[in-house]
Amino acid sequence: MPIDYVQDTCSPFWLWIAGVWQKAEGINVDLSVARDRTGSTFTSLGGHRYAQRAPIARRSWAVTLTRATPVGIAALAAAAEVDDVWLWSDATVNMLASRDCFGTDPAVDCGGLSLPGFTGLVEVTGRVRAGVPTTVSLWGSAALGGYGVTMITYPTGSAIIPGGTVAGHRSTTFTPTQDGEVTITPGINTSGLMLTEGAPPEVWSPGESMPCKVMVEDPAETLLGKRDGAYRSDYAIRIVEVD
Amino acid sequence: MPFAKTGAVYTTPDVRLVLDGAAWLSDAAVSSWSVDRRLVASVIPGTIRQANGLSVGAASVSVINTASRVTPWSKTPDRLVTTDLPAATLEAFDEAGDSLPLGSWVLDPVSGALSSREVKVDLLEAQYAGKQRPQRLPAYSAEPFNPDSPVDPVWAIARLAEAAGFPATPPPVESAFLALPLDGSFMATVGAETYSPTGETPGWTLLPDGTVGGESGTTASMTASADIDGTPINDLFRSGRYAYFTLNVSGAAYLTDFVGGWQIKIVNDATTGTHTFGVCHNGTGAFASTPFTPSLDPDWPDRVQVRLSRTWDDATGRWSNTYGNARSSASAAWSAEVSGTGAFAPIAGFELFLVFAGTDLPDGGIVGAAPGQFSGLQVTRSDDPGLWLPAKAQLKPLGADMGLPWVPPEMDTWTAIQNLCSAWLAAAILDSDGMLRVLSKDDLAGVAAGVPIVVDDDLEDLPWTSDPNDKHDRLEVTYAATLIRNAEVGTTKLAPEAWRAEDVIHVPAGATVTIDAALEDRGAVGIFSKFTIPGSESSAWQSQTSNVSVYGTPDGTGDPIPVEQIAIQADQTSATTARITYVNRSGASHYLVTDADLAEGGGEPSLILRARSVATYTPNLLVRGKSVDDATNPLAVDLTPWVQRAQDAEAIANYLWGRLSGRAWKVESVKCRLDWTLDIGQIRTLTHPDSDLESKVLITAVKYDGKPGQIAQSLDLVLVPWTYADFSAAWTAVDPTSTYTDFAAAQGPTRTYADMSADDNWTGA
Repeated sequence: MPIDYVQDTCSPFWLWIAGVWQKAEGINVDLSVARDRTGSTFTSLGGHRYAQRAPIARRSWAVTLTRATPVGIAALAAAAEVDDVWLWSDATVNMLASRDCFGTDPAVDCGGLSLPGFTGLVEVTGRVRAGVPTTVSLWGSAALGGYGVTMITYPTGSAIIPGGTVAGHRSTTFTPTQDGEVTITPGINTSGLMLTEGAPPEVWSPGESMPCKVMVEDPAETLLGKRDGAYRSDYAIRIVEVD
Repeated sequence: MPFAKTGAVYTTPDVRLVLDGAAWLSDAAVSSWSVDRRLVASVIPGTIRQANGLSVGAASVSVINTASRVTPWSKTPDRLVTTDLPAATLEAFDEAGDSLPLGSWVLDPVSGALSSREVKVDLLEAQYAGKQRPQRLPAYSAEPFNPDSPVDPVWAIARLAEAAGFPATPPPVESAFLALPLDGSFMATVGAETYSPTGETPGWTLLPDGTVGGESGTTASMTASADIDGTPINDLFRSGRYAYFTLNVSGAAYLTDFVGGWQIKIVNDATTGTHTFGVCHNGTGAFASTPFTPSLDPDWPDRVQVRLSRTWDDATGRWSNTYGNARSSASAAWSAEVSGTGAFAPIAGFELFLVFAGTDLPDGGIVGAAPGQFSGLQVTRSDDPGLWLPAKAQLKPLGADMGLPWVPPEMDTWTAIQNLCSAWLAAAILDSDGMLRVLSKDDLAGVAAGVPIVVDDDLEDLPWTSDPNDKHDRLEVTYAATLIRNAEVGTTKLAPEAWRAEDVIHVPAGATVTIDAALEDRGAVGIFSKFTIPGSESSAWQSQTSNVSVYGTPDGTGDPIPVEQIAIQADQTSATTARITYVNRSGASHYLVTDADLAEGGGEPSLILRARSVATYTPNLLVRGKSVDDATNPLAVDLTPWVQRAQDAEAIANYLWGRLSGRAWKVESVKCRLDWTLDIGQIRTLTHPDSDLESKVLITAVKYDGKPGQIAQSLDLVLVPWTYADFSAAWTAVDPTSTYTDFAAAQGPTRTYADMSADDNWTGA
């Protein structure tokens, strides 16, 4: 096989390098995603336990490639040298961070799961990709006189989800023309906010904070030897979410 | 309440560091931080050994250096530049956007490394800046020293705190010609060359707004005189030019000029809801009054500003009218104008008569007003917004008399504040908002209040130490019995000596020599700025000057230098320092030395500063407990040179003895559940029902160690004995209507104290 053969592993990962989304092929899909959220517990003399945790959890992906040629890790090796790299996974449903998807009080039915609704005006930010139809959706509650209007601003435009008095799942779709930040101000008494590429599911899906800024660490290599005319190696690369 | 006692699950807040004047640290994210604040300089069991250590809170912060390669040597505009002690703010922000300041800091060393993205920033508590400044406690300004007008030590603390950047009332503004903080003494910080309190002096008390001020007694008054460069003040405020009087008032205040005739009455009484301003033109009529809207300034709910002007009548050659308005904030509209009329003669000069009480003034002008409390008076030529600067200190009257206040000249401002507090068993701390707070010994003894610390819920463990060395069987308290010698005018005796030069001073031809005289071990009032040669002038004149004698040779031989060539002057720069300036305009060297031909003391250094009053002290000893031979664990407490009155020393000795002669235990460094409301100086109740623990404790140290998701807090606690106030509070909590009489009656007519102390209900812990 030629030296530039890359195994098709149905890898869902894309890397944003130099302003362009590029598929990272050949990654074994059987990989672990570690969530790192520092915390501690304190146990009092009477046996009461109190837990503390950091506000944000950050992830790291332990990526491996098996029997790949150096061409197989081209995108990842380039990303290891570039400062501004973003990661996207096709497996993503909800692109926001989970803690941004709901508020504090009262309960709003989000397709069978009750979540606390937004009580004040907060701004939630996410990131969108150019040229992809993106949908913002949420559930509104009929209690307390209905729910308020949701304002959305994305790199080249804006949209709204109007308020109403009938409870239910509401959404709006737009297509940004460039990559960038989207700011959503959910209306009062809504919850279960989702930012999806394509139609949203009928139940709230937890946020996955995609695309996210990452740092790609240098690949660790295990040289296997010549197979099918080219030297092959196993690679292990850690991708760490930053910022 | 976001920053309170944390619950079972707590999301830790973001902590950010903001450093003045450093672009890269204008709002830096912190990766780890630690803060340590301690309460010392208070002589209480458990920390008594630390009475001489002066605590400056410290913090250490690791900041993520997001700007790449910011170093002290980089050439980009955002390079690391640290100016002198820039102010730093460390604040915790939770997700709801609420913030909690974690103290107020100045910068200490910043360090990093090229390979590391983290920069370590050390911080010292903001009052550290006070340790960098030499203190300049103003000289006591009575003429002569008046032992009947006491000075509460909080006056000295207030002056030092103001110099360190923590004013309790707005500091004197530029246009002030009279500033009377009234926070422990009658002395003015601006103006008032002379003042003389008459009658019963008011006590020093805490106003409702938290400032220290005077409180009315029966009749008490104070005269202060001021003029601006010889221009009669009365000429300065007329025809639309106003004099502004700004002060905190709770109750009623009268200010008057008996010589100029006008009087103003300010009533700012929250209990009766009366807020009026009145003017009387010539001291004999009634007041014309108008109401004003009170408490419009959120920083100063009891501050009132009044402006006053007069109308001159050319035809009669007299003042025909006095008029003015009042308001309670810098931006509020003035109240309606009031004026009093009537002819009055023109008068030069200006005297301010501050009345504290409600009885008649000597001329019978005012009758029966409500008593009042006052602080922070300034009389200014313009309505400077600086008159409304928020306070940065909260003081407490310490209930003592400092005699003649002075601070050793080599001591810095912050050390002086802590020593003054320590001597009166008080404490001065910087709380997490950056306010300097003085806690008196009664605050530190405290009535148990606030949320209790339940050991089972809040503490990891309760390690205790009971040290027999903390229990003393003999207490020796040394105080400074002060001897004050006053100059007697017009006698043959020279005024008391404040300082004398120890070396012969040489002033070269054409040179100016400046000598800074530090008065060790004594305080002086009114150092004479003029010098005479001993024996050269009349004795009356001699007793009012300092002395110098000048020769052309270093050993005093030959002819003395002619008087016309001697140009020397002394200025008293603080209670214990003076600056002497000698200008030699002749062509020959001058030496400050006595005549070599004198029978005694010839050829000796000759430069003596004299003063109107000089205080020297002798240490006096008070003893409690066993005699020297029998005592196994004596404790000596030195209150010199601060405590000067025997009764104050006795009160301190009694307070200490009550705490040192009994059983004591302490808790050092216990890890506790994160509770943001805990702070040093608080009194809490520590309870552990399983072990019958119920004790009052004082928090003497709070330490934080923070990383994302992990904020560890630990405390140092000191046991505080129950006081009568606790007993009284507990008794009335059970039965709010009962009094001590009821308690005594409940004990029955035949029970004595001996019965009660033998009763099982009363013995034990």
